[in-house]
Amino acid sequence: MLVTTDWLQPAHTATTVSMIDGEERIQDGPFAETKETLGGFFVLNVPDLDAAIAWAKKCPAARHGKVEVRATAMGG
Amino acid sequence: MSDTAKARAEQTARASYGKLLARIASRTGDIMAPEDALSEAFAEGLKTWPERGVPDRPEAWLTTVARNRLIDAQRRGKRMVVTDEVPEMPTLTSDEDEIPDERLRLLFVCAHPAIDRALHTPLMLQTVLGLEADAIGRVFLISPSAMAQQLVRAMHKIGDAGIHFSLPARSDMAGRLTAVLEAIYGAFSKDWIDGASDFSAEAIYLAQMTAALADEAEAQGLCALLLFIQARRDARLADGVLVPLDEQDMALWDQAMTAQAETLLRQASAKSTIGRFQIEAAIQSVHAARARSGQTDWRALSQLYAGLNCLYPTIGGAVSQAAAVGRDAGPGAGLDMLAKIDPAAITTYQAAWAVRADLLRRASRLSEAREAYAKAISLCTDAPLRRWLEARAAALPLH
Repeated sequence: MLVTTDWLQPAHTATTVSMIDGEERIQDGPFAETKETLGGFFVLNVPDLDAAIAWAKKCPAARHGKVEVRATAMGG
Repeated sequence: MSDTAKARAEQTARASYGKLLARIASRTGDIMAPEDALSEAFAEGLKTWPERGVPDRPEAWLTTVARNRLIDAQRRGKRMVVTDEVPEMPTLTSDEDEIPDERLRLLFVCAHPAIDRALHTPLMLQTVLGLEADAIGRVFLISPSAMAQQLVRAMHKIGDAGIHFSLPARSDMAGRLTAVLEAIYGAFSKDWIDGASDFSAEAIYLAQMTAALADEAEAQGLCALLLFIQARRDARLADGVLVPLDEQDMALWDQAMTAQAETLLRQASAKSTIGRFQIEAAIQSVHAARARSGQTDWRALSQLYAGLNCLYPTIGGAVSQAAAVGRDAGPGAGLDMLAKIDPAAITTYQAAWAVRADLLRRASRLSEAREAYAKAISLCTDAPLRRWLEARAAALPLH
C-alpha cells in the first residue's frame, strides 16, 4: 500500500532554481507564489547542494517553472 | 593596556578565529556549534591577550578554550549539538605546524547562491572575522536580535541543505568569486560618512585575504579599489562639509596605502583578464595621480567610465561618465550625455541632480542650476554632502 515517504529539512532550508529563457536564477527559500502548486518530484542521491542544483537546472520543468531543492532529513 | 597590545590581540585573534572556524566547519560540515564555542573563546582572547600578551600559539589557545566551552555548554544542557563535535576540534600539539588556511572555502560558502544575497556580507563578518551580531546589525541598521536570528537561520541552512565547504569548479569560479567580491564591497560601502561605526577596515582585511588566497585579477582589483578610497579617508570632510575628490588636500592622502593599491592594480592587469573592479580601481588611480601631476586627467576618466559602462552598466556609472565628460569636453557634452539616460531611472537619484546642477553652473545656466541644486538637496540623506550642495547653491551668482 505505502509506496514511498520521506521527511524533508524545514522549508527555510530550501533553494529554488529556475532557468526561464535560459537565465539561471538560484534563490534562497521555497517558492512562495500561491498560484503555483507542486507538479511532481525527483529523488536524487548526490553528495551536496551544488550537485543537486546542477541537476535541478537540467530538469525540463526549470525551463518554464521553478524547481525547489530540499534535502532529506532522514539521513543517508 | 596599550593600544598596540590591543590592536595586536585583535589582529591575531581575528586571523586565528577565521582559520579555525574554516578548518572545523569544512571537516564536519557543521558551522553552528563550533561558531558558538569559538566566538566565546574569541571574546575571552580579546579580553585577556591585551593584558597578558598574545600567546605563542594563538590557534592552540583558542582551540583549548573553545573545547572547554563546548564541554561546559553540553554540561549545562544548552542547544549545542552533543557527540562527535568535540573530538573533531583540531588538536594542535606543540610540534604541529600552523593549520592550513581554508578561509577561502568559508568565503565561498557565505556567498553561496543558495544563501540570501542580503546575508552574504553579514555572514562573512560573523564567520570569518568573528564579529558579533549586534555590531553587524548596528551598521546594517537591523536590530541585533533580528540580525542574530537571520544569521542562525543561514548557518542552519548551510548544514541542513548540504552546502559543502569546497572550492567552486573552474567553470563556476568567475561567477562565484564575483559574489564573494560583491559581498566584501558591500561591507565597505556600508559607510556612514558622518562618523558612525563602519566596516571599511574589516572589508579591506577580507579583500586582502581574498587577493592573497585566490590569486585572481578581480580579487586584486577589488583590494586595490578599496585601498585607493581608504587612502583618502582623512581628506573627504572639512568642518563637516564634504570635499569633492578633485579639490581634496593631497597632503591628507595616505601615500603608502596608495602605493600598495598601485602595486596590486599592476599585478591584476598583468593577468590580462579585465573586470569591473579593476576598471573602478583604475579610475581611482587616475584621481590619485593628481598627487604627482597636480591636475585631474578628465580625458582618462571619461574613457575609463566608457569602458566600465560597456562592461558593467549601471545608472551610477552613467552619471559619473557624464560628469567626467562634462569636465573634459565641456558642460554641454556632459549634459547631452545625461540626457541619454532614461529619465525615469534618475528622477529621484540624488547624484544625477548634483551632477546636472554642477554642469548647468559651469554652463552659466544659473536659474536651471539653482533648481537642480534644490532638487539634489531635497533628495540628499547624508549631512556632509547636503552641506556641500547647499554651499555650492548659495555661491551661485545672482545673474
